[in-house]
Amino acid sequence: MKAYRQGDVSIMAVNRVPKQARKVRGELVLARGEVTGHAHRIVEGQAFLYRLATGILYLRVLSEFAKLYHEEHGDILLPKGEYEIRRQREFDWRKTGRDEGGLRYVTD
Amino acid sequence: MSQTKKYRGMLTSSALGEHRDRWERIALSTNPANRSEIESNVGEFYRDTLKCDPPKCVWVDSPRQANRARKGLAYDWDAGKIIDNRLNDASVKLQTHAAARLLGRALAEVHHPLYSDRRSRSPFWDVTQYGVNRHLRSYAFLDFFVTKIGLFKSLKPWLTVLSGCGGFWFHKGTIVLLDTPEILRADDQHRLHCEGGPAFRYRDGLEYYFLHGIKVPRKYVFAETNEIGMTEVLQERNAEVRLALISKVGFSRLLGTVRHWTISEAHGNSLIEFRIKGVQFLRALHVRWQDKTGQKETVIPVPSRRSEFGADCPEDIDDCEQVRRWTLGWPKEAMAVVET
Repeated sequence: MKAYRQGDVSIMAVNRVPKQARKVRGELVLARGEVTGHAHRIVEGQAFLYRLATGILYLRVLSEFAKLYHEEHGDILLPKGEYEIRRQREFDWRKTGRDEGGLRYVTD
Repeated sequence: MSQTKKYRGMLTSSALGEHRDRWERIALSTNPANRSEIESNVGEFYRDTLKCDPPKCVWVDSPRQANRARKGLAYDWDAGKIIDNRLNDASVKLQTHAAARLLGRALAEVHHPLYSDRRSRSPFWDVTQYGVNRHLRSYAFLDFFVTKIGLFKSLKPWLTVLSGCGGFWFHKGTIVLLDTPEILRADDQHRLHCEGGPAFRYRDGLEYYFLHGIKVPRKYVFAETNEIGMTEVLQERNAEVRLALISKVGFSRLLGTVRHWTISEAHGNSLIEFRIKGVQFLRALHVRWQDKTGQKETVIPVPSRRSEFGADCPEDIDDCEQVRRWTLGWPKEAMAVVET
């Protein structure tokens, strides 16, 4: 399984985008920083973004390559294929329930 | 005579550098706006270019005051759109000009510190809709042709308005003009930054604190470096603010504020266990990387017990690389192709 990482965003190659996932309209932004406003976005190539009701994002790259850009991190060329987008997670040690509830996605 | 030869005298590196410096000064200017000059230029532009009566000029010191001043006024979408189109059309036409490439290269590094913070929840969202910070580089580009080469002279009054005030809002019969900020401090990469006070303050006292472009709470800016400890850093929920704190205090000094030991290391990263009052043991990944803005490092809190990792717990929770892959949500079989 091929994995790409740009900062706190991982792009994992998957066999196919789930059928239940709905196409996301507008800009192809995989994640956006709350504080800086910087975003991981597709700036070149043909691609579509899909979202499951649970919030998981998928990317379908139709052109030979799609360029993933971010203001601070290096560019990544994603080859044609289907991908799942994952955010980096961390442990929320101040939460009292020390189970899955103690995990959170890295917010920037 | 070819176009390039004709403009060679104007396109010397010193002339281009001077023009770039002028616009960099405009970007960081805290001189109060010359209100009468700007008002007369607004009037001239409306009369001569938009062919309509000059609007009433209302000055405000901050977007907060602007909100009050704009209450009950109808927005004039047409004026904004027409002016934007005029500026865009001129820019597009000038792209093929012989001087465009050299000038574009000279202005490549010109940025406005506010425009890099243009997210919708930014305190500067309003003022980045119109005003000099919106397209500083392209205004600087246009200004060279208008003032030095004498093309698109009709835009001159508007460029004076753009470079002289902090922003504006178009309303029917009225234009609300924002004065320049009282304080605007930036680092060498044009990001808002000040370690000992507000990085940005409007003339009515509304102020914001930033460390290397990251908006941080006031307490972090005024705290002496010896008042910030590792516990405080690990408590900070926002990864960017955490990173700014680490860059302010220094990671090695932070490590000195708490008992700790390194469990494992891999590829320049390390898995560290901290002894923190009231929590006992807490683990965090210390990760280092290089990006477009330089060398960076931060800490990512991670679980210290298998039960806390969840269903995809790594085989060895003491292995730095396995824990790092777990934070990324990578399964065992994932093969890293590119990491930036």
